[in-house]
Amino acid sequence: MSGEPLLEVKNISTSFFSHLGEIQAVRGVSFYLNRGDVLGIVGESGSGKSVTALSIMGLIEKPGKIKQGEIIFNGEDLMKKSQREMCELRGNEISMIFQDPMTSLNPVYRIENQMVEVIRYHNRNLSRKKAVAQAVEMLRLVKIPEPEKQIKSYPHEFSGGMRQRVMIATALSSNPGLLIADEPTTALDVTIQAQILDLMNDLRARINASIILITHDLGVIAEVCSRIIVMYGGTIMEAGNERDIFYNPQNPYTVGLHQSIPSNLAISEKRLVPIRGTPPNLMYPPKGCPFSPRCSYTMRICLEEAAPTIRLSDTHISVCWLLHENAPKINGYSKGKIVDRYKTPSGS
Amino acid sequence: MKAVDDVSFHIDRGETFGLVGESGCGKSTMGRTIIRLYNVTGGEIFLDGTNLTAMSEKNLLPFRKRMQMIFQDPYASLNPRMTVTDIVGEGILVHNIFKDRERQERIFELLDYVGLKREHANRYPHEFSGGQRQRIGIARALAVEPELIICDEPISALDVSIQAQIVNMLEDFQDEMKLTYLFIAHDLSMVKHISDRIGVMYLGMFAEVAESYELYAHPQHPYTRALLSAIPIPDPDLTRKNKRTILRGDVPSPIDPPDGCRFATRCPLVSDLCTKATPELIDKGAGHFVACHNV
Repeated sequence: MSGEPLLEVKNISTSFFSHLGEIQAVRGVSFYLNRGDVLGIVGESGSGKSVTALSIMGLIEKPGKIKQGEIIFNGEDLMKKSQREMCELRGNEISMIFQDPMTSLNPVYRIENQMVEVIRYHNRNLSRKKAVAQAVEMLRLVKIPEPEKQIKSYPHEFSGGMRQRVMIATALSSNPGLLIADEPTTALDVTIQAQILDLMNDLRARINASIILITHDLGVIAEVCSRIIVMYGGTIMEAGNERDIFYNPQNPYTVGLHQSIPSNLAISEKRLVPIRGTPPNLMYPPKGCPFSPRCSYTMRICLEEAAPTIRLSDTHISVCWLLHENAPKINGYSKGKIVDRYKTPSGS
Repeated sequence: MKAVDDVSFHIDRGETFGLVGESGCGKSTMGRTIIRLYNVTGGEIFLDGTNLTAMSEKNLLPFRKRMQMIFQDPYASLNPRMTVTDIVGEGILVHNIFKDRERQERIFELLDYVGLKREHANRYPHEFSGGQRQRIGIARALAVEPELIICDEPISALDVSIQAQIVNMLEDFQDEMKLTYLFIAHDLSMVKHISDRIGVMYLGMFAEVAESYELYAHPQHPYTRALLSAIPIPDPDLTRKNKRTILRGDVPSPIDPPDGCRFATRCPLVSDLCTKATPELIDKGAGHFVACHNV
């Protein structure tokens, strides 16, 4: 898929103005997504990954505000669209599924009503009968057994995994150009998570969906994503393809994440290597690199100035002073060229 | 509803026994039953040879000191109206171990152990992060110098970078204080990391019990195999090689469990016998127990 990327996010910053002060949840994030790509955004709680997604969806409500930046989707700047235009877009061209499938479904309506409502909202000329038929087809696509019968159920009659399937079916019913999945499997058991990830891989192949998958689990990322962004403290730390992030991580935070989890197949007599300290308070983010208070390689400049974006290859960037040519050489870390983070899309 | 049904196992002194399974399998109920937060409806619990099953609350008190618990949710398990001193020191007071100044000194010492500061002692839980709260919960458990600690999903609510901090700390304390752990979790990779032996539960029963390495290297029960293959591996090359067994459907309701083997409704190896007779947990050699008709 060549040509224009489907989505371009340019230098967005989103804050929440609470009575305590301004919480700078997202601070200057830029990336892009090509058609048919599955982009993973990985980060811990408070890294800004969900707020980034909500900013794209235009779902930031008071006291939150997108302070700056551009969100170009299909060649149009979403920031310039009215609330009404965004309503048309949401669910039609961009759909989102959330972590908790129980609170995303209305408990007092049958699945049928909820799906038909969405389908007909975005296609008003469709008869109810045809909309029901389409809903049944969507349920079949996400492998709900006996969809004609099951569509009459209420959400509480379904298990967590089934509800998440219904959410995916509803989100895909308008054939959106972009699907944003925010921790879609976090609330599910591992065997059910495996079913849903399997389904997402299957859908990706069958309908060529462009997907942004947000998760805290590097394992989930490894299952489905071709490109990966690592976020921390409201900023992008590193971006690259699967090989870059899993086999050649070039940011001390990414390396720290890898070392914090036990490897699955090795006999794990080895001690884990935790990242010391705690994530930053985004009301008072560190002046320089957000990871500098916890990093093992912190230099003076890390505390004083935001790190530059450094390009390591066509696919790989890292935001870290350690990769600057004036920094000491550390084993495992390469040197690269500084690039303009706002002009150069992160990742491939 | 039988949350845990006819389950027998033992934990050796100084050992970490891991209990894994999906939600609703009965692993938390098991932990809570052992320290008698729930009463047993059948069977017996022994601590160090003493039968705790029907003991009165009063007689149980000295045994409660020997068994402590760390809970999953560091937000819900600390009383928001109590200071850290009150939370950590409550057990010391109840069991009458130290008084006044000695008690305060002991609390400072405990905070030090778990990586908190003295000045944290007069603060309230809401002033701490999730990881710090879990440290307070651990200090509370250690305060009465227990021998057995039931860790009920102690790291599930924490961020990855903080999980490793807590796991390392629990391992260090086990070495220093000769603690015995029952470690309950659904994150199999972390359970394998910390446990000596592991029991895999499904719908209130054991499917398989074995030494940690043995269980991961040679899983025998079809449920264990499916569970292990379902773990997302943070290594794309291995992920591609991993032949995943996708289980059909969901876990049946424990109110009306299937006849025979409880896993029969989802099992890839299911045979006629499975729907008729409940398989016993049988020793397949070297302490590797499996409850399956077909292995």
